[in-house]
This record gives sequence, C-alpha cells and structure tokens, in this order.
Amino acid sequence: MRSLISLSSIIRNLSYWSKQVGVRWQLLLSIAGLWLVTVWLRSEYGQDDSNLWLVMNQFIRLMQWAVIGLFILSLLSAMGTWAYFQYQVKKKSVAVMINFGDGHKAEAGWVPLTVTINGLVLRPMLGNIHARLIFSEKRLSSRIILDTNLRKSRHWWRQGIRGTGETLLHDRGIYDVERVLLSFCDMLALVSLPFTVPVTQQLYTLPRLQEVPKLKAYPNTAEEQKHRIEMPRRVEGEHVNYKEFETGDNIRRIVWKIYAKSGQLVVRVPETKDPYASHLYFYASYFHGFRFQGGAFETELLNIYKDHIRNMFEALQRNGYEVRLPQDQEIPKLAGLSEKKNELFQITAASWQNKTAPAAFISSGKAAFVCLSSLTPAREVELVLQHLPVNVPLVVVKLSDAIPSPFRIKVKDIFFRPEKQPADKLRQPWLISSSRRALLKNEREIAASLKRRGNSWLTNTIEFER
Amino acid sequence: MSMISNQDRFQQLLIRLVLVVVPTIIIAYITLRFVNFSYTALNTAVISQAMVFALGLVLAYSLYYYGARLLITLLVLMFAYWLAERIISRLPGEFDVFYATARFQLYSTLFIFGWVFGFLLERVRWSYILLFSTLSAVTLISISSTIDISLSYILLHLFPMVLYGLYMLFLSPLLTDRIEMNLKKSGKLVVRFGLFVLLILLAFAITERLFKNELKAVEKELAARGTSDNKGGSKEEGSGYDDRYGLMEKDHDGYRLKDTMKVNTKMSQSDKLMFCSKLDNYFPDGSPMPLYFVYHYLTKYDVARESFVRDVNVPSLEEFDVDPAVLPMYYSYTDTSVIRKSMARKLRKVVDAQVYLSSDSWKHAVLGPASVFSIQTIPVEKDFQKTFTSAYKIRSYASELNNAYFVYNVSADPMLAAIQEQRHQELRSVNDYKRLDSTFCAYYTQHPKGGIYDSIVKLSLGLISKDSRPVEKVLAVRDFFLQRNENGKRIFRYTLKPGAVDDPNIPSSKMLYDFLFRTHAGYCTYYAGASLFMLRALGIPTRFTTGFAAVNRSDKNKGWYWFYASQAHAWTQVYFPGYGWLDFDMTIGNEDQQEAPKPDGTPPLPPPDPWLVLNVKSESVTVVTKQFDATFQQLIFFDTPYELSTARTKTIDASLCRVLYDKKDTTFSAILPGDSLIIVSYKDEAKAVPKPIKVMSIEKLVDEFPSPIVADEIHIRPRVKEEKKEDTSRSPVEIAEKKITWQAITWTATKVIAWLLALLLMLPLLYLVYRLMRIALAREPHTRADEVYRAALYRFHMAGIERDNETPLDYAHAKVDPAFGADFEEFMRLYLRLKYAGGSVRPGDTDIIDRFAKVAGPGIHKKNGFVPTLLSYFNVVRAIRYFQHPEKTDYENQSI
Repeated sequence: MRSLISLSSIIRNLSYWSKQVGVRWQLLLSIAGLWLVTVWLRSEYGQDDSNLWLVMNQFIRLMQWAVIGLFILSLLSAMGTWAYFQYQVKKKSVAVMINFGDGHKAEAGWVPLTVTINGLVLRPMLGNIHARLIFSEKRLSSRIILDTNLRKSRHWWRQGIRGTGETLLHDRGIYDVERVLLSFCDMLALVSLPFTVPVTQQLYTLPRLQEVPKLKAYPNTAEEQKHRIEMPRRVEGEHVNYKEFETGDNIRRIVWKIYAKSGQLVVRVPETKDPYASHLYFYASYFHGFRFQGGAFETELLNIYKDHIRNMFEALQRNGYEVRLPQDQEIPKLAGLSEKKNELFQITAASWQNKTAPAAFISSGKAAFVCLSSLTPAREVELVLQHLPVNVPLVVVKLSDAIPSPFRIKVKDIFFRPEKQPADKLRQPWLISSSRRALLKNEREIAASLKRRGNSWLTNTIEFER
Repeated sequence: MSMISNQDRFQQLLIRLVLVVVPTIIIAYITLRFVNFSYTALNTAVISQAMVFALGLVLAYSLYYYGARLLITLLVLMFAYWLAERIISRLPGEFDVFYATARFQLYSTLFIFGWVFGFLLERVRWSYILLFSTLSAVTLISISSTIDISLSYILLHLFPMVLYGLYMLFLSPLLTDRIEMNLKKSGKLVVRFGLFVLLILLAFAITERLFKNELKAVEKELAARGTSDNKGGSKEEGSGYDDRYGLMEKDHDGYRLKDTMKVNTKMSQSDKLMFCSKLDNYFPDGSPMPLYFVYHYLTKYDVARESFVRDVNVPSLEEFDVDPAVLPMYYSYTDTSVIRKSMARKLRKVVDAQVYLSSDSWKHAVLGPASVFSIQTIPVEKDFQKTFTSAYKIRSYASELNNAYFVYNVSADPMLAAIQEQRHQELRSVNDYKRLDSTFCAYYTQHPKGGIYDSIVKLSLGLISKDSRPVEKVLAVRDFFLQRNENGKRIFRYTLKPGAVDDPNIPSSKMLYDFLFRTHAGYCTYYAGASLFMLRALGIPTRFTTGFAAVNRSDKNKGWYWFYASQAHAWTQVYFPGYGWLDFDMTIGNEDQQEAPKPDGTPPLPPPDPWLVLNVKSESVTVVTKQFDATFQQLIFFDTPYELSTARTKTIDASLCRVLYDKKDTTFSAILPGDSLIIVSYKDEAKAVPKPIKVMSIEKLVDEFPSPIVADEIHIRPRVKEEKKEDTSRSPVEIAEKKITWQAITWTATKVIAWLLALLLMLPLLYLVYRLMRIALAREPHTRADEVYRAALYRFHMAGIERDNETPLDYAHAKVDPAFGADFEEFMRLYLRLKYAGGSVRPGDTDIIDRFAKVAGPGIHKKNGFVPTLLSYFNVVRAIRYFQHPEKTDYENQSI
C-alpha cells in the first residue's frame, strides 16, 4: 500500500511543480508539431520546383511568421501583466479572497469555489488569469478562470476580478488553504506564468446528505433548555413574552412600538426556559481497533462513516428532540459557528482514534442511540453491549463494502462509462487487501454477538430498520 | 462532474455542439466542397455528404459526451454496417446494386469519418490538431492536383483551415470547464473571439506587408510560369485559360504577352486535354503528317521586360485575327490577306482541319496550323459536348516543307530523315535576303546589344560565317544544340527544371546566358529563345512562335491528333524568301512528350453536312405547329455564303428540330418573335433539297426553296448582348458600380465612422432635448415634478456636479445649491413629499416646480457660462457615467 501512496504523492508533486514552471506542455507539443510538419513538407515537396511548392513555401513562411508574431505578442502581454501583478503584490495593494460553497463549507464532492482578487490587476491581452488553491501537502484545486470584472460604481476601471468554478474535494474534513497559485496565461494558453500569493484560510467539507427517513429513538435524559422567542404574540390584551420595564433592564429592549400605541414601557423577554426538556444523546464512536496505518483506505472508510453519522444525526433530529452529539476526541471549535452548525463541523472534523474505547466513552445512562463502525473490534462491541440498556438502538456501520468491488457494475455501465469517483482507484486494491479480510472477519464476529441482542444492526445503509 | 444535474449536462452538451461541432462541420463542408470540386469523380451532392458527416459527428460527440464506451459503440457500428451492406447487396437489379453500393461506400466512409472526428473531439483534448492536419492535408493534396495555383487560391482554401485551427486553439482551454452561457458571458466570449480573429488578421496583414517583396516575386514568378491569379475567380467559373483580363493588356506599343505560354512545369505534367483536331495533311504514302499548331507569334523582344512580346506594329504578319468564340454557329470568316501577308509562293498548299476545343483550352485566338485564313464554326455532336465545348473548321495556307518531325525522332526514321534532307536541299536555293524588304528584314533581325547579348552574337558568329546560305546557318545553330561531348553524350539536354527557382516561363537574358554557356539544360522556351537570338545575330529573320506540338501517337484514327496541356510548346520560325515562314524547332527531344498522359479518345462525329444555313430574324411564332416565319438576308447555301439584295421571308418548320440557346439545349418555346436565329438544315434523303445551279442567281434559288423549310438545328443567339448594345446608357453606371476600389471603401468607411462618432457626441445633448421635451409635455404636477427632477439631475451631472452615494436631498443641499443656488433643495423636499409621502398637491407647489424648472438651466449657464455648458454636453464619458448604475460589488458573503 505504501508504494501506491508514494506514487500518488510523486504524481501530485510533479503536477504541482509542472504548474510552477510556467511553460505548458502544449507549447512544447505545438513547437514539435510545427517543426515536424515543416520537415515533412520540405522533404515531400522541397525538392520539387512546382508551383505548388513555390506557393506553399510562401504560405508556410507567412503562417510561420504570423504565428510567431502572435505568439510573441501574447507572451509579452502575459509577461507584462505578470510583472505588473508582482509589483502590485510588493506594494501590498492586492488581496486575494476565497469563497467556498456558502462561505467556508460545502458538501464534499464538486464544490463551488469563488476566487476574488481585489486591487488593480491587468489581464494578459485576450488571455486569462487562472487561480488554483494550494492546500497542505501541495494538493491543488481545479483551475478557476478569473473572468468577471468587479467594477467600481460609475467608473471605467475595475477594482478587482473574480472567477467562479468547481473543484473536487472528496474527503470530508478540513482543508487548509496555504497559498493561491495564480497563472497568467497568454491567449493561446501556451505559457502560464505562475505567481503564488500566501493566503491562510480554512475551508471544510460536510459529509454527504441523503434523503433519510426518521429514525425512532427516545430520550433518556432531561435537561434545561432555553427557547428564544422570535415573534411577539398577544393574548387577551396582555402581551405574551413581554414584561413591564424595571430598573436594571436593558433600555435597548424597550419595545417602542407598544409604547407609541399604549404609552406602556415594556421589554421583550428573549427566551423561555424549559426545565424538563428532553435530549437525545447520539453516541458515535470513531474508534479504530485495527492496526492504524493512516492510508488511503482509512481515509475513504472515514468518509463513508462520516456520511452515515451525519445522515443518522439528521434522521434522529426528526424525532423533534434536540440531539446531542458527544465526541470521543478533542476537536477544536471553529469560531463563529452556531451550535447546530458546530455539530456538523464536529462530525466532519473528527478522525479515527484508538485511544478512547467505545465502552469507556458511551454513557449508558444518557445514550439514546449508539453508532459504531465495524472497525471496532468484536470484543469492544461485546463490552458496549454488556453495558447498554436493551432499549437503546445500536448500529454498527459495515465498512467492508464501503469501497465497492470493481466487479460490481450496472448494466448501464457496460454501454456508458460511469462517472469517475476519486475512490475508484481504491476498489481493486481494497478487494485484495488484508485489511479488508480482517475487517470481514471482525464483522462476522460482530454480527454473531449482535444476533444475541435485539435492537441492533450491522448494516451499510441508513434504512436498516426494514 | 458529479454534482451537475442531467439538465445542466444536456445544456453543456448543446453549448459544446454549437462551439465545437458546428465549426467542425462547417470546415468539413468546405473541405468536402473543395475535394468534390477537385475530384469530379466524387461529384455528388455535397450538402448530403456534409449532412452524413455531420450526422456521424453529432451522434458520436453526443454519445461519447455521455460516456459511451468505445468498444461497445464500435461493435454496434460494425454490426450496423454489416447489416446495411447485406441489405444493399440483396437489392434487386444489378445496376441498382452497383449504384447503391458506391453510394453506400461513400456515405458510410463519411459517416465513419464523422464518427471518428466526434470521438476524438470529445475524448482527446488536443485532437483538433489532428483534425486540423487531416483536413489541411486533404486540402493540400486536392490543391496539388489542380493546375491553377496562386497564392490567393491557396489562401482561399487554406485560410479557413488555419482559422479553424486557431479558433480551436483559442477555445480548447475553455472547454475543460463548465461553460456558463448567460448573455453577458457569451457576449464577452464573442467579443474576445472577434478580437482574436482581428489580431490574427492583423498579424497576417503585417507579415504580408513585411514579406511583400517576396510575395510579389512569387506572384510574378507564377504569372511568368503562366498561372495567372485571376483573383481566385477563374476556378469557380470553371473556365480554363482566359486571357481577356490582364494577360493581353494592350500596352503602349501593342500587345504585351505577359505570360501567354503556360508552358510551366506543372502544365507540362498536366494531363488536361486542351483540344483535338482532325488534320487533313498526309505524306505522299498516306501516313499522317502532323503540323505544329500555332497560337501566337511573338515577334518582338522587349529588352526592358526581357521577354518576347506580340507587337501590333509588325510588318506583314499573317496572323488570323479572329476570336472563334464570337462567331455565330456555322458562320465562316475568311481573310485572304493572310495569304498575301505570308509572303510565300513556293510549295504551299491548303490544309483543312477541324478543331474541337475543350473547356480548358486556350481561348481568344485561333489554334491551327500556320497561316490559317478561313474559319467556320461547327456544332459539337451531342454525345461529345461534355468533352468539347466548341469546334471550328479551318483552312490553312501551309507550307509543304513544314511538318512536326524536325528534331524529334529524326534519326530514327530514314523516311523522315530523307524528307528533312530534301527540305534543306530545297531551301539551299535561297542565297540571301538581299531582295527582301529592308524594313521587314530589319524588324525580324533586330536584337539587343551589349552584355550577355553580345556574347550570344559572338557565339553564333563563331559557329558559321556570316556569308553562308541561310539554311546552312540554321543547320549550324541546330547542330550547335545537337553537339556531343567527347564521351558521345549530348551537351544540351531537355529538362523542365532548368535550375533557377524563380524561373519564369520565358527565360530572361541571364537565364539564356546560363543555358547557353553553363547549364546547357532547359525546355522549349530556352531553346527557342536562344536560337532566336543566334539566328537573328546571323541576320536571319526569325520569330518566336507559341502553340502546340502535334504528336502522332496511334494510327487508329488517321489524321486525328490529341493535344494535352503537356504539349504546349514554343519554337522558332525562320523566313525564307519565296517559301515563307518555316518551322525550325531547335528543342532537344523530350521523350516524355511522345507519350500521351492518356490514350487518345474517340474522335467526335463530324457534324452533318448542312445544305442551308440561314441567319434570320424570327417573326411570328406558332407554338402549336412549331412553325414560324423568318426573315433573312444572309445565308450559306452548299457551303457558299451569300447576301441577298433584299430580305426574304420564309416559313420554318421546327417540329423535328434541336433548339440551342447559347450552345445549350433548350425547347422551341425559347424562340421569341424578334429573336436573331441561325437556322440549319442538313442534307437529307428524306428532304426535298434544291440543287445548286450555278447559272441561277441566288435570289431565284431562294425563291424556289421548299416551304416550309425543315430546320434541323436552330441556334438562338444570346439576347443579352443585344440588350446591352441597345441599353448603352445604363451600362457605364453598372460598370462604375462594379469597380469598387479600396480608396472608395476606405472613404465610405471613414464617412460612416465619422457619422457614428458625431452621433455619439451628439447623444448627451439629444438626451437633454428629450428630457426637456418630456417636461414640456408633462401636464399633471406629479409627472411634471418627476420630469423636472430627472432633467435637473442630468443637467447638474453634466455641469460637473456628480452625485455619488449621497441621498438626493444631501446632494441638493451639499453640492448643487452651494454651486448654483438653484433652490434645488426646496424643490427636492417638495418632490420627495409628492413622490413618497403620497402627498397631495398643495397650492404653491406648481409654482415651486415651475420656478425651479426655469431657474435650474440658467443657473448653470450663469455659473459656468453658456459655451462651456454647451460644450460639457459633448463629454460622452461623463454622460455614460450618469447612466452607469453602480454594480453590486459585494457578493453573497453568508455568515455562518
């Protein structure tokens, strides 16, 4: 497995450095092609003193010089704008901004991406400026063509340029943007002069959401809960959720509208308290009890597992209770996230761990729903089963077929190529890997122990209740 | 891209079809058209070919766009092909099968080509380079199979390819991404592409300018080689060599034959049939005696151009100056002065010939054996009209001493050698040119002096003494070219590639010098040019003759000769007093020319012999009986032309007759009263044909003609010409319209641009006028206030007080009123109240509005002055700023 990874990292590095060179292989190809054609024509017709060759010769020369002239022009314009941009960066009068999905996050897969450069940027004549994000480990995003002008109001000149596009971010997790690679391309796209601008920004992708049915679960705990009141209501002359203004109340909360109508000074009561609110505690364990390798398989299994957790989480929310999601690992909070969004972030930022065993993590008194992965060794599952009340549903996500076998094809696939998925290259190695065999064995054992207890499933779908 | 929906995908497919597939189809259509044109064998409907290709292309592109697997589709395709082939082979009827198979093969090939192109375009990113090279190669190969090549011709056909290649090069970086097709983006794309094309054209134009001299040299070279650049138009018209325009321009001193010859290398290899001829000239033993066919005599050497030219001020030239194309059918023209001008008495005979011209033949002069003096146009049999477009009979006053066997094969055939010797013996009777007219002699022996020419004179004087007999001098020159070196090998040889790349058709003096003293290799014009100078240096009247070498290749059709483009030739004619001009061809034998590129074809059937040809004007035409009355004065009766003293009218029966309009078959209904017709009636057993009686006058004979006269052929003379003659007042205008010069175009373009600029400059002022008109038309206070407000905003803006992001009231308060004191603020308060507070009009409001309306304008004038205010309205940029609404710059930056 090592070799595959290192090979892919070599390819990644190559592609990274090739983008940094500035000369695209198309240029080399074009030069080679033109040269070959010229050589062929000369050898074919060059000896001939025919009218055809006479005219062709002139035509070729005309073409040659016209194309060379065009190329030089386009190269010069690309270099000029490139140099100008460098000067602007030195003057610190440009800023690069990245917008990703709806700001910082999107569902994993092809995610919309917007790159904006604010400041005076010249585009090469008829050429383009491309942007690529450089993530950590020299991973590159797809190319975004910056082709939209941002104009100052009532001004001829633009104040910046922007481009939107899509890039494939398959892994559910956090992406650290380290730099933005800007390439100044000439009109024939033969050279692309690179310039990297350092940018620090964190983007994250969410696990993929499916259409999920409701998952039945009942809360096992009651806690105090505050409800924020959004709309004022009025019941029989009294203002519900309003109270008379008292000293010490924030004067900014005075509702002037009511004062204007009735002369009463009232303040809005922002929230009500529900001391016996019920919570669903959803315990999802990221415990990985096998030999931990940190390879491509584990990443992909984690992706699939996160998808499951997110879908279960959303399905549980349909019960009407607030769902709490305790974590078995330390995940830094992202500033500015609301509570609900924070929970999704927690799912996406989590990773496999082998420190906290599920039995130690799951509080059997609180748990309303428990999810484990089939990477949890059978004996650990057994331990959880021992402590968990029988009425609490337990789901073990079957991960052995998370990466499908290469032989699993549909009829349509015979005639039409299925769309390429990033995990496709793992299908064959996964089929023959020893990890898969160990996992299958583990799953068999888990299945055996789950059989003894009702209300538990080993499954690879979300609709396991049927 | 997994995220995009099916609808989006389909939209992307459509966009790609428009951007990639349609241009490819267009370029393929252009190529197909051209290939069809070049290879007439293919010539079926180009449109349907292109459609089949397009079908394959679109199908494959769409299928592969949706990710169809190559192997599976290929299997399906092969099965479909096999099935179709089976079905076609089962068709009833042998011919149908053959026809259908041929069609099927063509179309299936095109379909598969389209399929492959579609596959490549979809799957292989840089495949258009391959397509571009394939199509270019096809075009190039097609070009190389045509003769008339010029730079503009190549440009015309290769430029679309180049444009396509560059277009795809331009487009391909965009294709990798999702292409958004909203109005703004597509507009931008179009503008960018337009600029790109403009840039390319500019690059070409600049390069063309830089290489102008070289290009000119090439054009000149091409012209000299004989392929004139008729602006690429001659090809489209399908006509062959046409020297009406440019080539035979009348020059200051007569005809300039810039490039008459077309004896270029390409032409020499060409297998185009120019014409065929039945020549009634035989040796005493009955074997055919071929003669050179003359096109033009080039009598003068133009030192400035270093070329042989035609000359009008030539003493006694027996050129038969008539264009067969302008002669009506069956019409004959005889010029007996040719016989006199030939200045020959001895050993002359009249030779008859029929010449059938193909469409590629050289036109506008009679092609025939030397000294043609009579011509009659004859029709071409229907079956041969595809090959031959016109035909004529000629009579020549030919010398018995001329024949086409002079240098060629002379040693091979003892009989020919004997004839040669006999001819020389005969000519030995001529001692000198002393008795000859001195101007004639001086004209035909003039040659330039100095430099290279002197060395040629020296060379020829070294060959033989100046006192020798003329024929000896000629033979000395011939022997000079036939001499061998010490190894017994010929020193002079025949080659179509004499070395110099910029080798004009008629060699320059430098080339002649090289030919004579260095390379010893050249083709006919080299030999003819060199020998002309040598003979003239020896005091022998000589002229340069262009035409065709006749080659008797087979005895299958005795007397028939086939002339291909490769037989175009040049040689010298030498004058011998009494014997006239005699062919002396010094060219070393070129074995290639003995072999025809194609076997000789079937000679056309001779036209039936008419007993009567009438030149008539039709009177009353009865369509039902197919009869009409015709008035005529000129007629040909048993090959003798007559002109009647008074016009006669006869009834013509056209019921069994072939009607032709401008050499093309038509029907009887095409004959209109008043048409000018040629009516032909053949000698026919079934017809009552009056016998020519010599003693009777023609008038009497005509009276005794049968009535109606049964016509076999009616030629309607083209009416357009007559109309043109009648309508001379209109034609100069038409000509003026056609002659659009570059200056005129530039001038018109400048005018248009100037008008547009003026209009652009006037627009802000016009807008003000419009706003003021709106005020004048507004009656109701609300609308009036609104109009006044708008006009005022515009006027203040144009006066230089531009509003930024402040509210209108702020604007009025902080900017306008301090500057102009027009009480704008007061008005604004009123206006805002009226507009937003739903306020009713209070008394005094209208006064405020009116006052402000009156004050606003003059306030600006007072402050800025009238002229600057007026001038400020020409500030288009400021006006545009007024209309520019600030674009939203912040984008959806959603908080999380």
